[in-house]
Amino acid sequence: MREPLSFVPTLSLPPTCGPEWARYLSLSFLGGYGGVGHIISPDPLEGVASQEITRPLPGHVWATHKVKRLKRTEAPESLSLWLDIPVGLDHPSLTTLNDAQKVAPIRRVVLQRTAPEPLARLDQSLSSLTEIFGADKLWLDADSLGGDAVSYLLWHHPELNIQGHQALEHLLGLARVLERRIVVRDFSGRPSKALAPLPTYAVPELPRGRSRDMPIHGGIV
Amino acid sequence: MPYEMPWTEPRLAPSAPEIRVGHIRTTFWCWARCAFCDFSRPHATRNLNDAPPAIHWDALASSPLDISSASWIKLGGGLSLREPFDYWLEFIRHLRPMTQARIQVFSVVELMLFQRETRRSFHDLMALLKWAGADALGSGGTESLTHHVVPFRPLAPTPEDYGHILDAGRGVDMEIGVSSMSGPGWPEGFILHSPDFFEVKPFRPMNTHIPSRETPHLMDLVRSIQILRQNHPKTPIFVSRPGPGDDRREILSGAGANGYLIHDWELTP
Repeated sequence: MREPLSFVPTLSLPPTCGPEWARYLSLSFLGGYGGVGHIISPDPLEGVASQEITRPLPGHVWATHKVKRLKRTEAPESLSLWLDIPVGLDHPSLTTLNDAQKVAPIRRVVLQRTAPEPLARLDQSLSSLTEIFGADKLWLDADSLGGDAVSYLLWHHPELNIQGHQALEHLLGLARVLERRIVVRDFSGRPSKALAPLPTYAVPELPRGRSRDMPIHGGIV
Repeated sequence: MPYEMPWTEPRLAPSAPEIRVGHIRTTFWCWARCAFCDFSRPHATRNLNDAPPAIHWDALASSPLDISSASWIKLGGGLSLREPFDYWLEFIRHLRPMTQARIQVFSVVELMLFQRETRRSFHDLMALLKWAGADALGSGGTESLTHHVVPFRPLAPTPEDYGHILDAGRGVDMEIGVSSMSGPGWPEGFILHSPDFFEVKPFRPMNTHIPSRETPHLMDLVRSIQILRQNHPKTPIFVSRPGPGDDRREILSGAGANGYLIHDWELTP
């Protein structure tokens, strides 16, 4: 059994849900993972240990797709930058990444796929990004990438972190194939939890002989 | 004897073509009760005439389906024994003028049943099927050559049986493939013969008696194809119902798949 796959169950709340509904959704989501998980919310939520906020707020992590110049009173603690995986040197994600470094410290970069870029280009791009930034800060968004792409990319970049929600079933299958456990964690500093592997059908030794002498329709033929 | 091959890293290749497949189900009724089957409806009757009738060739003409949209047509189904072999020759003769598609008839198991039933040789049966208009014999049943889960049933072909059937097919220019079911934990067996094509089938455990709940992961399929490709470099490998998505197809093509069999239409009795 190799080093476990690190998975952060992540729920992005819709921007319009009120505080009660947001809290209800968050707690029901976290309950599914034994209390471990990460919430992306429009407003700070009470009772949620690991969260990012989709607007700049002092003392919180700002989860954003693009950055803007901020007032001093808005300055977030750090940034969680959600970017399309950049393909090519003129990709807009690289400009955003460059601008973001001037706004606040970047805690992590979540790599998405919102345009149908070919998998080979994503793979190539991830190799360069891992080399430049190191794998610690890079996260693959399994939901936007899709289970098949994540399986392929994790095979070639086993050091990357994964987040998402919908792709868990696929990841459990991949964990079986790669002989790695899945560890769920979040950013609260609480200990991570190992998920139980999927039950796997065992193929025992065959008894001697083949059962070719089973009756064929009552021996008629 | 399973192949000894370590996991090989997946690669990418341009997606292999899709092949639209039309299915004509002869009958859903079957007495065989194979543990892995999710298709048939077993019937317990001892009287052959009690089995519900199989599909009639009138259905070909009266169906609103556009059967010409499929480039492969597969004819096959359960083992009901109600209709004699000659009925199916007539059926194929009705089908042949209606389509330019490659017609793949029955399976190795069904052929073994016809052989037992009619006392004709494999060569005679294959020659008659070819004469009626068939292009290929379905690969169903040959999982027993590659997986040691499947032999627990009557009529599972042994490598010797398969060799005879392959020889008979080559004698009359009928293609014959091997099915390779892919599923978690299933070792891939050793394939003695070199068939005309492979059909990789993701195992669907629902409604079967195999005590497994998992459908194969993409990487299970990749490994199955890699093993076949390494041991049979020139034999075409088709993946049956590979699932949606360009990523998946590029990955499977990278492993060595030559085409994807996509369900197009189905004609049932």
